Amino acid sequence: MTGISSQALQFGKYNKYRYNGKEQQNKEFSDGSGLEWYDYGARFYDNQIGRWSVIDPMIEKHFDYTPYAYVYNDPIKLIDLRGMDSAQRAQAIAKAQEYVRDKKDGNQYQMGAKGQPGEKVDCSGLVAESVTAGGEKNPNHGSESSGVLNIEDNTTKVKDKDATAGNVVTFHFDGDGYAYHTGLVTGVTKDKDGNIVSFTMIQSSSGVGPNEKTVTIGEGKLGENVNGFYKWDTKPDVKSDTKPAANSNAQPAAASSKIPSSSGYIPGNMFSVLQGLKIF
Amino acid sequence: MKITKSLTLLFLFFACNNISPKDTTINSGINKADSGSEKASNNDPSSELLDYLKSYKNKVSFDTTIELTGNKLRLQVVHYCTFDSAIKVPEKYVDIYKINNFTTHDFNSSIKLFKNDTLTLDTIIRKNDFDKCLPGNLRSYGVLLFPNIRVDSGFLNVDYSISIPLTDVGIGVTLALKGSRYEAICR
Repeated sequence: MTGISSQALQFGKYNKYRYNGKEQQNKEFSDGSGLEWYDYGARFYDNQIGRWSVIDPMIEKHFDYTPYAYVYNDPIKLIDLRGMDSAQRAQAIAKAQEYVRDKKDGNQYQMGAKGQPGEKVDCSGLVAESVTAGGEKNPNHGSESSGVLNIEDNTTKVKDKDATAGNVVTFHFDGDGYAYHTGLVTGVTKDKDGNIVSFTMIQSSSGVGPNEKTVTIGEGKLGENVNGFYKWDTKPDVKSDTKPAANSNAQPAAASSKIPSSSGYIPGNMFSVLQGLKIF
Repeated sequence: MKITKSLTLLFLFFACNNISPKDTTINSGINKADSGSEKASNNDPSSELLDYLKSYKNKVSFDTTIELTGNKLRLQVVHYCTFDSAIKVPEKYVDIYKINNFTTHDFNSSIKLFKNDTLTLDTIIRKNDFDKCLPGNLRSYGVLLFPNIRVDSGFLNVDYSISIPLTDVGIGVTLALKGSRYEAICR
């Protein structure tokens, strides 16, 4: 595409990471040409026409708008980090990643600790703080004997085939000892039939604290004891011109004006918060 | 005495996760986890209970001075067990530890804040200061735990967990120190 060139200075390697830091797929064909689409994870974006190549996988949440348009044709205000409706879940993942990034040396796990990133936290504490960062009420409330069970009670179990990044995963263990564990899913790998093969989660585990882990279904203590995946995100996303509060627990304002209430896109001013987000 | 006896029965206690050597820990570049520590924690199954009982006699103290918005702020926090035997945790929360009728104590914090060497706040912080944040079970059985000092939005804050002892049932709360007054913030 002609126009302002990122290569004007003529030094260094060609930068494949373009708008929003997405990798440009180019030179796929033998003659050196290519589609020059940007890889957003869930789908490819054609920047030359400002459209996606396929429909939004989350289109059922805003079916009243064309599924091919990028962020309701408002790229100045809105960002779609993954090519799919994911703002609340993306904010939760960003919070969970903050726990891993800010973890201090030594054990940062403590049963009953509900600290913020950089402080001690237990498994349900990390998940609950991530969920509240996504704009929902702390799910660890209720009459259960375990925070993990409270979280299960206050969220919605989804079919394994529908599990996605940003869901909560829980584990139940048999025998003596502490029977429950939880984490926030950051990525899911499925086979051609849509069955989960493995997933990556951020958890706070005993003796360590916050860390990221890949669990293969059916393998190991965790892989053999997955109880289920839980959806917690329910609210409309923040309105594009609403400045997020410094306190990550602030509730997002209700969407309004021309943005459909179920929009999953992220306001541009949230982008700096989410730049560390891992794209799957 | 019951507690001591029960410790011998805790040989299969696993804290909030069970890690098998088959599980793969990935290194995403931000992961600072030490798999060796994970393994070690499983070899010490009663550590949660022992740590909690030890905390009765271990005062947590902070004495820190920072420069914030042109002022020198000195914060002294002493977090301690009151030994009041005021909290009787129902069996359902602690049956995993083979404990019946677990009675424990409130914890309080003594907080002193100096602004440019002048004492501006001298108070005792109790769980009740956060009543507005607490559901019924935490009002009855929750304990003020794990103070952490943090600077946020130009204020000195003290983060706490209010949790039912020996469980992961609890919430995080924050005490924002604003000169001569303080504010309880629910998280």
